Amino acid sequence: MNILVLRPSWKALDYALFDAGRRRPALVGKINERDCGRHGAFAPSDAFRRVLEACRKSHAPGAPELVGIRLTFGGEEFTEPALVTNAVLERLRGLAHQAPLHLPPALALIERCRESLPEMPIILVFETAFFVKLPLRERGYGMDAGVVQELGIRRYGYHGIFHETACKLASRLVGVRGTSSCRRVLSICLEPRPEIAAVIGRRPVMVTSGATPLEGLPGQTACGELDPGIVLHLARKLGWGPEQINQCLTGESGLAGLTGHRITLDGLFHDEWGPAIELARQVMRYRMLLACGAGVAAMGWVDAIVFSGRYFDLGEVLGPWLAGRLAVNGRSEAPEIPWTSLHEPLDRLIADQVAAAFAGRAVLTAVTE
Amino acid sequence: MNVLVFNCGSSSLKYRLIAMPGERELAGGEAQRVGPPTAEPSRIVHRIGGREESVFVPMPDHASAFGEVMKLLGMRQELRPDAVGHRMVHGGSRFKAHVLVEADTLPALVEINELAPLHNPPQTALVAACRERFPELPQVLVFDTAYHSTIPDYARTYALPAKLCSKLGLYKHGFHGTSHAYVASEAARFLGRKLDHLNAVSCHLGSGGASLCAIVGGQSVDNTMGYSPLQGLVMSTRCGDLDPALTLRLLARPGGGVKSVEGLLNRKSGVLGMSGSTADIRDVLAERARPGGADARAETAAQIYLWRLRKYLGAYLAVVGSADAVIFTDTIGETVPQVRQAVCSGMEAFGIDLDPERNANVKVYPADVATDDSLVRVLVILTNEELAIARCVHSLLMGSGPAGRKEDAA
Repeated sequence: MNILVLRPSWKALDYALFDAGRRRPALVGKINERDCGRHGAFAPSDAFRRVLEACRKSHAPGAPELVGIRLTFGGEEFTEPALVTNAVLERLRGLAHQAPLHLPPALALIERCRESLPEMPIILVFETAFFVKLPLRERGYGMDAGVVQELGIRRYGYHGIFHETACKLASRLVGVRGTSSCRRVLSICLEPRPEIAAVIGRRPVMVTSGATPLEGLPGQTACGELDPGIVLHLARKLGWGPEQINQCLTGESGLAGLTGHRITLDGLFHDEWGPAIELARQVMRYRMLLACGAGVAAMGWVDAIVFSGRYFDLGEVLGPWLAGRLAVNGRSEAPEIPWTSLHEPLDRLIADQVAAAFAGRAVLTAVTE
Repeated sequence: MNVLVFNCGSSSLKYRLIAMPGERELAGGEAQRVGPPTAEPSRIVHRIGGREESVFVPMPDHASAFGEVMKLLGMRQELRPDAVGHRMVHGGSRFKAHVLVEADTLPALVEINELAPLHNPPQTALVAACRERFPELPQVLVFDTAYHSTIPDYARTYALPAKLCSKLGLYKHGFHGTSHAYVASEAARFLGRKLDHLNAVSCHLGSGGASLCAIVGGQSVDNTMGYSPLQGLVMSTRCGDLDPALTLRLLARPGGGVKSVEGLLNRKSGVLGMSGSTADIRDVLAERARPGGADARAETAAQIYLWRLRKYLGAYLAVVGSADAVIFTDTIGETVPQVRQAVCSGMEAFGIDLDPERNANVKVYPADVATDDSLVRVLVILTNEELAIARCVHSLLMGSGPAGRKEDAA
């Protein structure tokens, strides 16, 4: 079955077309506001027409037979992939206020998709689904219960598709360096906003992100964990409003803030040198170590570490370093923790989830093929 | 040398007169309900020679509380102080070690008052009053943040624009340093090793504020509190770590001014905000232990409080590497075995093996509540910030430098 994968965001629409039986996409691309001839008002629904044109013009052997749309947020409503129906759309609309930047344009895209391809089944996959059942103790904040209820606040992870597949991959490490079980896994997703989860079996028990993806590890432009007192200080001292602070924390911080220029996670560890880069590299590595230590405490042990995401190959740098630091309390006689990497790109994992969901089977993953 | 130590809280003033270097308490006490009138009258609970008395007297501010305390001490010649030590919560970037108060010290203190608006202003006022009344007495300021000046750059730096951080001084300062330094030196003494060979995680769990400190070679390398005392663990009324986007959402809410959000996160969150009934984790745990258990809100409060603590302990044990000890101190850390049990059980990955019986029956301090086979000792140590300050004052004035930094506890 040919599957068209769509990944809408507020600034671009990524797409990939997979032919039946092939792991690599026949077509892959991205439409952003420049391609749509508009500036500052990108709508993924407008971009969809261009995706269809690209599919038609391509030399891909077959037209799409199934559309899979990846949504970063599905709230507590969506714990698994969902076939789009009127009822599903209604439930999504009800969640829009919880992810106002993401869900409204995604909803517009889904509606455009239904109009353009009325017979086409559309399956939604959700990054948060894997984290809906986080334990109560990990879900919450030390906040006033009334405010929590009023604002619908709880914590999630936002790279669930990578984590879920990566944890299945960990089972391959059984037998490596005497490992007899791989139930307790530290899953390190190396995306522009990296995220670490601690997973027992198939259940996450800790994750670095929070009510939004801003919490946790620093990203390429996002600050990650921050003293709440600093946010208040920026408002008081500089007179900044919430939008101005948000722009600073999400667009000008993280690795960009530390180094003074835009830099990818990959570039940070592989390409560039200098005092600011070195500090940023140390900050990132240190924050990962803290998160991994917290993850081990959350699970009570660690059997394996798995890296995933577009910068998965940084596992070569980070894997030995983290595994060595986490060996049972640094005792030299402790066995080193095995680690591995998931090489599959996100589009492929989404296509797999979509295909499995459509077939009505349990989700099969790339690693089993 | 008699050292008079002041530990000034937002509405209280603790004091101890300690004969150094013998570390013998000559007198001590606490001025309570300092500030605007409350439902109960202000009083000083004064301790001397094994006796305790209460003196009821109005104390509208810390300067007047200081005057009343000095009246109580001043009646006897042998209670005259030779030096004064002040606990200061925040030293900002200006004060990275303990200092002798000089002419330019007070203006510099006033400049950093806003960094700890609840604590620093009354402490600064007290230093001024003390200097005015006893200009001849040497005064030493001991900063809670000073012990954390050894935190490396990669741990004290926030991932914010570097220029903004440098302009506003947005770095991790860390807090409770006086207590962490004191229990670290006591732990080293107890374990019979040199302080500069001690690797540990110190858990200062107060009934109000709380923080963990990662200690390598006797020095602080990280603290869960940050730029302000709001970051880190869930505390009695403080939220601890929070998604920055949530603080922004609160600011953007109708009526969400900075002051109101600050009040919400500092005074109406934490255990109080979650449980809705009490700010004291001991009440929540007691309710949980009763037949039928706690209600949903108290259960949530207990779980989140303990879980955050456990995660940070794991994080810092990973940082420390081969830890010699986990140290529990201050009110909750010293007296609530359930907290130690919940946080340390199932932590064999870090070499911790708590002995439940020893943990439940601590009668003598310091106590080691780990099993004999545990790779990491679990110590319960009574903190003594006033004594730590007296040591700092004594060693600074005797010319041997800041006590907490160079002391050899072998």
